[in-house]
Formats: sequence, structure tokens, C-alpha cells
Amino acid sequence: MRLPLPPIVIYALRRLLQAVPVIILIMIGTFLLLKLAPGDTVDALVGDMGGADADFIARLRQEYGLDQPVYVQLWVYMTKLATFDFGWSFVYEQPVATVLWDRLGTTLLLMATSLSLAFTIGIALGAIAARRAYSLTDNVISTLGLVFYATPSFFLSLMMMLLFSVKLGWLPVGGIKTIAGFYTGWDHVVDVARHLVMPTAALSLIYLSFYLRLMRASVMEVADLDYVRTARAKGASESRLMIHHIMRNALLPVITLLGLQFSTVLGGSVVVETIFTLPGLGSLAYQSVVQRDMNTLMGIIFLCSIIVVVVNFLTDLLYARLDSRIELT
Amino acid sequence: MSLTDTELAAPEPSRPVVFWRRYRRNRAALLGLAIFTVVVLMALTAGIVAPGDPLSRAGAPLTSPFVDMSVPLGTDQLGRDILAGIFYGARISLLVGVVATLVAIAIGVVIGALSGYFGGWVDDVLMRVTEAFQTIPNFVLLLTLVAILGSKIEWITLAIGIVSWTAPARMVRAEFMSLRNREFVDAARNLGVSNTALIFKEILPNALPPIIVYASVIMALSILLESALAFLGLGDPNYASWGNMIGQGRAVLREDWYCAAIPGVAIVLTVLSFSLVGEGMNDALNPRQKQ
Repeated sequence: MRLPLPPIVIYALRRLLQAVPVIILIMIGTFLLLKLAPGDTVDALVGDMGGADADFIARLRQEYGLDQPVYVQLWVYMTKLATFDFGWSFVYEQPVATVLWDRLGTTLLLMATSLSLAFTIGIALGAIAARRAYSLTDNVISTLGLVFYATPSFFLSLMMMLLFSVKLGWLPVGGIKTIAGFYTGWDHVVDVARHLVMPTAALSLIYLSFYLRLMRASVMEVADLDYVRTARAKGASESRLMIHHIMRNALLPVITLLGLQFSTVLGGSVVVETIFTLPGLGSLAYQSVVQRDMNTLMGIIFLCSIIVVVVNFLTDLLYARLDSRIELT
Repeated sequence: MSLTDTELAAPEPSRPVVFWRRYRRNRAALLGLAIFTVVVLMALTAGIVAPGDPLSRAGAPLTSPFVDMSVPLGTDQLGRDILAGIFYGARISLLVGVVATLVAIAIGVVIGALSGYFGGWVDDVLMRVTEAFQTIPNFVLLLTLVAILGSKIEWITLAIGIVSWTAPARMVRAEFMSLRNREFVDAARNLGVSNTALIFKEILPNALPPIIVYASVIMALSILLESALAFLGLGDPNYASWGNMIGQGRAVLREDWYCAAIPGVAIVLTVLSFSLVGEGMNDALNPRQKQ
């Protein structure tokens, strides 16, 4: 098959097609989880109204299609999900999609800051540690990496709160902005940034340690390759070697890990957002569990999965761009 | 092996001895093993060191550590002995860690083995399922499962296993794909050995070592997941758990921060010991990998 399209576009389309069965499986999965959960939409509705007689409940079930065979219900559910219709939240008295939409920005912002921080500092420290392998610098960096890896984000959050909010009073304890601040323009940006410092640090440190360790191993491996020796023999300086020759190849496994771990980072935001009372998807997931708001919870699962698929797609493209050995077609 | 070889060779040390000698070279791994041993001892002796219910009142609320020797690490806001909580918490952490890891590896081995052994459409279907599980943020899935199944410790452990099997499944699949066409497998196949026996008796024993090393990672992650659930107040309320202690300690963080700090340090040290032991085992099993 020959299409008059650039190879990168064909590659992108093929990657998108591969994601379709995964998304369908997730749709079926959320449907099964909804069915497994005690109580259905009508139970929630009736509970919300404070009870109703059996006849009325039966009519409601009919109206919501809950008397249909399971496969019909599944089909209806999937077509609704495909249009991002997640149903009604009986806790927020709004469509779930509206609730999610309000929360999405905060989570994406937290993801972006945390991952950029973890990625840049992780690869920088990893590269430094690899270039001075088995020195004191390397030992300090590697030990720090191990400790960060072992520290749960909620514990780190509390200890940071204790130090920076309670003892020193430098940073706000929670929220995304000062409630009665009404800041505009740059003041607003600075205000939000101050609120994001601790959540970002708490969420990123564990991943920073992952990238650090992988980058260290990766740089050490690439630095031994023949082409690097050739470049050195031709008189390339150490910094040029590092930036032009080693980094690009050493980054590849780290980028793979970044894509693979994105869903775990998103999961980690549940704890961090809840602690710092950030109005994002993560804290919403926690509240939905506590309040048994299954529609919202399924909406979060589906939306998060879509975000993960999109991010994986982007990292794949980035990988293909960085590694010219990959055949695009 | 010819006859002369066996006559000349010095008696070879047994495999565990070789393993231990290699493991011993890594000092960090020894430290990890020491911490791990202490945690196991704490879990075993919890009933002797702190008899009675760790969730009952043991002294005046919010006693600082090292003040009252009947409660050496102090008490929390309900007067519960923190030392007892740490010892019983070790029990829960290890129990959840070990059982959840077994569940995750069992699921992972079955899925990965079928996928890698049969290939074709079986592989396609199982890998899509694996990808779906990897795509859903695992902590969100864990919360959902706990919301559906309830907060009993058995269900929590099972749920942690269910959200952790994808990495071992991929590892087993990769091992099976490289092993399934080796000569010893072909030989067994020609002898008429069934698929089941080929998978479990011939290939699996050869595919297991990397999975066993990776088990230390799954165990560490399981402990972190359990403590995060307990921290959020979604753990089993009938057992002392480090995560839960930190969650409770949050309320008195301002003045009595030790309530959260002590169990926090316990988690950090335990997880640290797992990764050190894991790295040591990895180095000992693959001595060539390290320069």
C-alpha cells in the first residue's frame, strides 16, 4: 500500500489505530466495574430522592435501559463514552463531564510541572553521576536517588508541610490559589506557582530517582560505544561529547520510561492532590470513592486513560524523532 | 563433560554458596539485608514486644518519645503506643507485600507464559489486555477496586496484586519468546511432552530468575500502595498500619510531628532495604552485567 503521506504521518496513524482496541477494552472494563459495584444509577437516584415505590423504580429502570440485556447496555454505555458522556453525578448534581472538565486543568498543570522537573533534574543528575562514576559525587547522587525512591509521596508531603509551611511559613499548606486573594495577571501566576511548589516536589521526587538511575546506567553504556571513542579521538571536548554525542542516544530509554510511567504518575496525583487539597482529577477520584460516586469514578478512569494514550502517542513520536534508526513505515 | 574433567576439577562450591559470595561483595546489599532482617524480626516478635491490641490505649495521649519508658516511642493522640504500631505495622506491610506480590506474579506468569508461548492471536489479545491495565492509572484502579470490594485486608491485598501484574507478565512473555524455540524445548516437544508440561516444567524454571529479582520491586511497590491507601483512610481499620499512623499523625503535625515521622521512617527504611536487596541479587545473578 502506497499512500502519498510523509512516513511520520503514516507511523502516527498506525500508532493511533493500535490504541483503539486498548480503549475499547477499557470501556468494557469500566462497564464491568460499574456492574460489579453495589447499586446502579436508579438506586443512586432513588436514594437521592429519599425513596420511591417499587412500581416507580421499575419504570425508572426501564427508562434508563437497565432492564435491557447486558450486551445492549454495554453498547449504549460505549457509545455514550465515545462522546465523552459519562452520565450524571448524583453528588455534584451536574453531568460528570462538566465536573471532570473543571478539574482537568489543575491535574494537567501538576503533571506538566512534576514531569518536567523530574525529567530535567533526573537526566542532569544521572549524566553527572555517570561521568564521575564511583566518585564521591556519584555516591551522593546515587544514595539520594535510592532514598527518594523509597520515600512515599504522602510522607514527603507531610514533612515538607511541616518544614516549609508550619515551621518556616514560606509556602501555603494547600489549595491552588489564595482564596480571598483575587490576584490578576502576574500576581495570579506567582500565587499559583507558590501553591504548586510542594505538590510538584512531592510528586516528582520518586520519578526523578527513576530517571536518575536509568540515565546513569544509560550514559555509562553509551559512553563505552565505539562512536563515542571515535569522536573523542577526533578531539571533541568532553562537554561537546556529552551534549552532541552521548545525550541523544542515552535519552532514548529514559523517554520510553517517561511514556510507560505516565499512568503511574497520574495515579500518584490522587494522594498528592488530596493532601494539598488541589482541585484536580486525583482528589476528585478520592472523593468519589469516599462518596461512592461511581459514575464520576468511571469518568475519571476513562478520561485518565485517554490522557495516558495521548501522552504515550506523543512520547512515541518523540522517540521516533530522536532515534533515526527506527523505521517509520 | 568428559571424564578427565570430572577427575581434575576441584569440588565446586554449591550454587547458594557462590550466590552468597557474590552477594556479599556488595556492601549496600548487605545493609539492605540487615534492615530487611530487622523488619522481619519486628513482624515476628510483635506479639512478644507489645502484647495486646496495638490499637488500644497504652498511655497518656501524645507522650513524646523517650519520656515514658513503658511507651519508648511515645503515643499518638488516642494514647496508642507508637512502638507497638511500628511492630504490628511491619507485620501488615510484609504480609500485604508478600501476598500481593505472589498474586501479581501468579497472574503475570500465566498471562505472560500463554502470550509468549503461543504467540499469534493469543498474544495479541493478552497484550491488549495488558496494555489496557497499564493505561489505567494503577492507583485509581486500586481505589475503584477497594470501593467495590470493600476495605478488608484480604481484598486490599488482592486488589494490589491485580493492579501490579503487568510488569511481570511482560517479563515472562519476553523470556518465553526467547526460550520457546530453544533446543531443549524442541527436544521435549519431540518426545511428546504436552504444552502444559512444556510451559510449567521446561520453560518456566528457566524464565523465573529475573522475575524473582523483580519480585523485590513489586513487593516494595505493594507496600507503598498499601500505605498510601491506609494513609487516605481507605485501609482496613482493624489492623495497625504504618500508612494509617502517618494519616492520623497528620492531624497533630504542627506540634507532635513524631507521630507521622516515626512510621514514615519505617516505610522509607523497609522500601530502601527491598531495593538494596533486589540490586544485590541482580548483581549476584548477573555478575557480568556489572563491570
